[in-house]
Amino acid sequence: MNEPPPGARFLAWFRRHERALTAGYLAAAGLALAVLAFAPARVALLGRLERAARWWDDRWTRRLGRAEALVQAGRWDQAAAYLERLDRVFPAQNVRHGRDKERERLLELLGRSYEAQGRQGRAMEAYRRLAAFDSLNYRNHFVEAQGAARLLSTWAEAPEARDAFSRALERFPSHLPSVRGVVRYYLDRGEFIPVVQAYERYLDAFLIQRVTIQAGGQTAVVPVLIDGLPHTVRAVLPAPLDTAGPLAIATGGFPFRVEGLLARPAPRVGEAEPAEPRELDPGRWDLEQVAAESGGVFRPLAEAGLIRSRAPLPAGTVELGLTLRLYKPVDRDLWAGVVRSYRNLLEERGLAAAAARTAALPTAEEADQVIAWLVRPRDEPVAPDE
Amino acid sequence: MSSPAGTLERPRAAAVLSWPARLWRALRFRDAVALTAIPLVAAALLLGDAVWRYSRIHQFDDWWSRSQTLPGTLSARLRALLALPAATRLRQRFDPAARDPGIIRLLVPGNAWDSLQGDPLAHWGEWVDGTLDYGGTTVPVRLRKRGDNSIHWLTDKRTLTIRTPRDQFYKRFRTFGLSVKDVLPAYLANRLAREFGLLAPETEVVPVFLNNRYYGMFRFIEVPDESFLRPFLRMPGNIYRGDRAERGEAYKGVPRNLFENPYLWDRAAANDRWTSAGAGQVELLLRDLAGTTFEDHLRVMARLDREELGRLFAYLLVVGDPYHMDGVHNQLLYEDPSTQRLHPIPWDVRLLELDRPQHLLNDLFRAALRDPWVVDRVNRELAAALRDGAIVRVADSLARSAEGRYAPYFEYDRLRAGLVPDVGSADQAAAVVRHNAEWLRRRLDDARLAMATGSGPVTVLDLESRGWAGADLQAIVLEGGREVGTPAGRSAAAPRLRRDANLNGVLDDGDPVVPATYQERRLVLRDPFPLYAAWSTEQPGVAPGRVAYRFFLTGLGSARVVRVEAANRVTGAPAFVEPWEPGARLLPGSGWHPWQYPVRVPQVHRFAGTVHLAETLRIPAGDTVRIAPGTTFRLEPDVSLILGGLVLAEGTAERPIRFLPARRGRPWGTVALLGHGADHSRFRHVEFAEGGGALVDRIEYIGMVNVHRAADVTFEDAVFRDNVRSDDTFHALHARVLLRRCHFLRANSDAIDFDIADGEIRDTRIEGSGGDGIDLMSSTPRIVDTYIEGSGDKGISVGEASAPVIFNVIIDRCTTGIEVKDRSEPLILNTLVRGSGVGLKERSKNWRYGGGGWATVVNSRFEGNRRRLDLDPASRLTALAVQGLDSLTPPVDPPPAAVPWLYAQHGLRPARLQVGPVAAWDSVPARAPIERQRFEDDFLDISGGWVPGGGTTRLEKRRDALLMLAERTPGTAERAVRWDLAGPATAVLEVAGRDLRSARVVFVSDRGEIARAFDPGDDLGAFRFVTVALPAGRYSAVRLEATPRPGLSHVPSPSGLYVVRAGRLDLRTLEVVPGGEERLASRALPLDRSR
Repeated sequence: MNEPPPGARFLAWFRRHERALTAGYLAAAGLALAVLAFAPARVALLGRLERAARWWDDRWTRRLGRAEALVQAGRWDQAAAYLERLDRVFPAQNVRHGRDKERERLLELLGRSYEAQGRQGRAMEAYRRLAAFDSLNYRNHFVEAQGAARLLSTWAEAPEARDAFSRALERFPSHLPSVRGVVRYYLDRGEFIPVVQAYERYLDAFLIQRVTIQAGGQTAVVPVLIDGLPHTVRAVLPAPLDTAGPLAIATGGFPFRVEGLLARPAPRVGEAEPAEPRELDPGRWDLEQVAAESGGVFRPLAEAGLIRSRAPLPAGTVELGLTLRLYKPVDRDLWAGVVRSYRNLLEERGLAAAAARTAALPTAEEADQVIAWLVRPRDEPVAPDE
Repeated sequence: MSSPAGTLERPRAAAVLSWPARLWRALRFRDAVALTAIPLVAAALLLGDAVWRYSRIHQFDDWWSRSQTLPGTLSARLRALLALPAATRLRQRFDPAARDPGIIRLLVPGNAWDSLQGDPLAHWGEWVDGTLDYGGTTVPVRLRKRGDNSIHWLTDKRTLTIRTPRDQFYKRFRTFGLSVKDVLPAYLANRLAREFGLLAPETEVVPVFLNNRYYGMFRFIEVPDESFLRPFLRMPGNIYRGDRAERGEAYKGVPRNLFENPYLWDRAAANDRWTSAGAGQVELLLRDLAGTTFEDHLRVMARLDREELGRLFAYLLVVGDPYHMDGVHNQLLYEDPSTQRLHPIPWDVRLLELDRPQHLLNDLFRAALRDPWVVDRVNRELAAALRDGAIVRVADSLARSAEGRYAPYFEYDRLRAGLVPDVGSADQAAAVVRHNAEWLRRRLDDARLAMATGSGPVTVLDLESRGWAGADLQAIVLEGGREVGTPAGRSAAAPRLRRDANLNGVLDDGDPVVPATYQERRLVLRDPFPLYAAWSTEQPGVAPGRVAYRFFLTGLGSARVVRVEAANRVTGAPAFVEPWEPGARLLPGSGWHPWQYPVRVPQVHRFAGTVHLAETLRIPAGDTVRIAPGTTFRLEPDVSLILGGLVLAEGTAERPIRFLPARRGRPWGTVALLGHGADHSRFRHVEFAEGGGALVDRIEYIGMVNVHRAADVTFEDAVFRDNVRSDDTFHALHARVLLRRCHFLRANSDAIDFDIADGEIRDTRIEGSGGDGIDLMSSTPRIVDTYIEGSGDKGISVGEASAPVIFNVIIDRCTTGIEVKDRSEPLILNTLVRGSGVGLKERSKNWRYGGGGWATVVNSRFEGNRRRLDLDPASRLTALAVQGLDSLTPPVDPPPAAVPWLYAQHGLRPARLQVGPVAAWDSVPARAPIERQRFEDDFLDISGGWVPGGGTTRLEKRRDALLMLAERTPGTAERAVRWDLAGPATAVLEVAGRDLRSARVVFVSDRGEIARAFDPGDDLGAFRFVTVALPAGRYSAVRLEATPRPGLSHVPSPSGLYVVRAGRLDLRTLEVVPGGEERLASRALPLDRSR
């Protein structure tokens, strides 16, 4: 006896159960429509869909993470191949995309992978694409400059590196590593005028630090220009000091000098008592994570480094007048090059003026760290709340 | 026992199934699938589309994309689906060709549009070609994506930037935005800025059609650039822009506060003169802003205008949004080169409820609001705006008229809410303004003072302003002790009030007496003493702050202060005075103390004899300078006099006052009157020689003598000669100046330069100028009885929308007699131009003004000029009784035209009617017309109230005229009027035509019709006057009738076929002036359009 074909068997089975299947199908369809129509169910369903969509979208982050792991493991060939594929399909083709920073990371990793493979042309191309991707981001130009310095320099630094350092400085004139790059480029060539010009531009570059003044448990934050010049700063405490207490000054890691201190008391209501500012001699300072340098310069060793006066501020003080000098960070090697340039140009007066505005730190790392404290990711663009 | 019915029914039920059962029995699986397919597929499609859209939105992470959810996306689609029938019905009613000047029709090639619309990330910064149609006008345009966050590019309606060619604007705009965000609320919020007299970009709501399909309601936004300044009569200058909020604009990794990082700013308009600080101005501002001392504050305020800040903050408070012009975006600052002051331009301001503070104000606003004078000014502006609900009424009217005008379009956009950004509603928008107004009104009532007194021979009286509004201290009430003193000043024992002006907390000699009278135990202040309020901006928003005022009372004896009487500085109501516990320490004030500001006692500076100046002398406003006859100033090279106060330099013919160089051949700088402190200054019998202009305090003075922002400054019998280096001999900027019987000799370039100035130049001789005799920019002076000879360039250059009256002037042997440019409209009467290279030249020079010149020349003579007339296609001319501009040989010598109404409008009455200069004339009071209509292409009525009829195919305001086209059959344009003429009057029309067989104007009155036929001519560049005597009566309409020339004029169409060209009539002016005049219809002579 012949077996019926599977199709016929299925058909027979289907005919036999068609009514039940129809009922089931209608129930499922009804349920599906009911889920969409019934708000709590719909919201729950859509919530899951939303999470699924996000999870799906986050695959790019996961894939970039895998690429990063390959790079960190030094598996350059695999990393380059993986990043190339990722580069082709990565959705952030434009800086307006939400994954713009991931795209920047991708291009940087790609450049590094090519560089490690010895594919210099492709590496430079990746760095150039990085700079073009968000040309307003100074870091991209800095990465390009560093790449050019490594890959294109011969007996002296490559002009491509200088140009990219200069572009970084156009966007962030206080970026010390880029200043160092420009200075090094010209020093290598024995061109001292541009060295001096670059350094003076750095000193003059507009940069503000919010200096924290503390006294008697009260805090005032005042902006101070960081240009190595003395600035008179008026700090008003939220309320007059109840009791005498020490004064603390923290500059967020920037080297500084205190050149004057005035304290003005708040008069009492209904009582005639003098409210004129008085000059104070804070005497010696206690240092907390701060090193004392020659010339009365204080060098914070951490962002939170501060100095605290041993002599207390008088009770009733409500306003302080400080003469402060904040220095842009410079490392001793860079400063030595700048000094040499001034001397070679016989610019002793210029050197004296620059020296008065400079407090050199022992190492480049320490100097760079100060700028890094200033521009931590907290300063990244955050869309304003509309 | 069963019922019979039961036994009957049972077999029937078994034999005949109920219909659901039959349906169920007949239902097959495929039927079920077919039945459910449509809803299931629709649901699946909706869901799929919503998920896809959500994923697309989720690619971005700005404020809008983050607020989008999948349920919201799906709901929007469902709602739109349900509203589809209603939306379709509505859409069928839309007519892209409706006669509305706001409707914008964009035509963009499909593939180009699809590429722009398709990928939100692609084609940024790329322009796409298209055309913009409005009314009967087509403008080639370019479009591109616009917007700083994804609301602008992710919905079905996209924000666009549109740019026209330089020689063909859309209305008066070359570049503008069409924004989708909060159309109606944003329109109201930004439109209200103009109600406060601020420099604010134009904004409107407009329906946009794309490729003849309705695209949506948009907010039209003018993009600020140099052209933006023109309607405000501001000199071109830098407009600094700080807009760094979002990706693509933000500088990553650097301090992002615009007021702490000058490198984030760029310029929307650039002043590239060498004297401009350029981008450096922002850094200077930021340096001062970073300062914390009072001196830093004074420098910041010197860069700003307190009065303008008062209006700005009042506006921002009324709309509830002092926040959005924040530290990362929406900053535009115009730098006025004449003062070096910065003027904030409101940009992208929202409509918010003010009692819900959002975040801290930006650093600039916070610094400005620490100034007590600014706070006081804001309160006064607010009081004026809120008085009788004025601003609420304006807001209500603006919102409702905008919504009412385009109600179906708004309704359509609301039906697809969620698919496109919310367009808002007038009710909601007006309610927000009403809410803010009410909140502010309550705030203005809040004038609170705290009071504490001490004891002892010198009684300390401490008052602290704690309210939103300040208070005026009026009296101090005492009690106890014996009756002390007599009225102040008569007895040493009288109580006296002194204020701690130097803020040192104790009474000393420097503390002045506050004038007061003592009567009946009340010390009544002679003038209310202002106790200004301070505002606190330490927390989000603006709140009442505190500022303490210390006074000292002497001579009280054993009496004591029981209370003070003070009034709210804004409302005049009694201020609330609360006790203040003595002994506590004074808290720091929220702003700068009003007594810290320097007070200057006005001084009189007298000069006589020989005065040698070795350095620049600055006289501040409030001072007076008196210069004796015979005084000679000898100025060292580049030394200037910058005079901010009243100057009285009145020499005599025998003993003139002279300004001369100390060293021959080395020019001094400038004599400059600066600011309204110098209003009404007088110079008589003065000689200025060999000065060279200057740059002082970063303000450029381009003349040897300058008047900047001063009014009614008079120079009589003055000689200006031999300036070197500087462009101008005399320069007036934002000023009103009278030059009478002056003599200009050998100007280095231009002798007299008026920029945005007016006044009069009379009985003046200008000889041998290197450049122009008189150079005008956006100026309206009257130039009369003046002789200009031998100018190296133009005798009179009338440029950049100037409208001078030139009467009885002789221009002799100049390179060009008169040049009229860039939508300037001079009236030239009884003037003679002779022996020059070109008699009259009209052209378009600066594209930003959007047109050429348009002179009205009457009873004037041009003779012996090598070229009579040079008129470019963008320019027009109205000529009447002019000899020497026609192309006939010899030139036609026309009879003089009797146009007393024209003279009377400008206060002139010639003694004799003649062509060319007159020997005598009288000055009479200017007579304003009863009615005057001119035409500007704007967003208001498309044809200025004129209604087309008959064969009129087009009737629109274009190029400063009403354009009327009549094709094949006679056409009309009619306007309803309400003129009740008590006596005879004259109607004056200024018209030109082309391809018309005939034309006439008809006035309809209660006594019948008065018709007047006229020859419209055949040259649209040549206008003529038509006058009609109107008897007394009540007039209800005026009608233009134009009959086209039958079928002779054909022009090629885009199809390659020739089509009939319509007859055209252009009306520039319709005026009704008092007094019946004789009929006048000037005959247009063929113009000599030689090139």
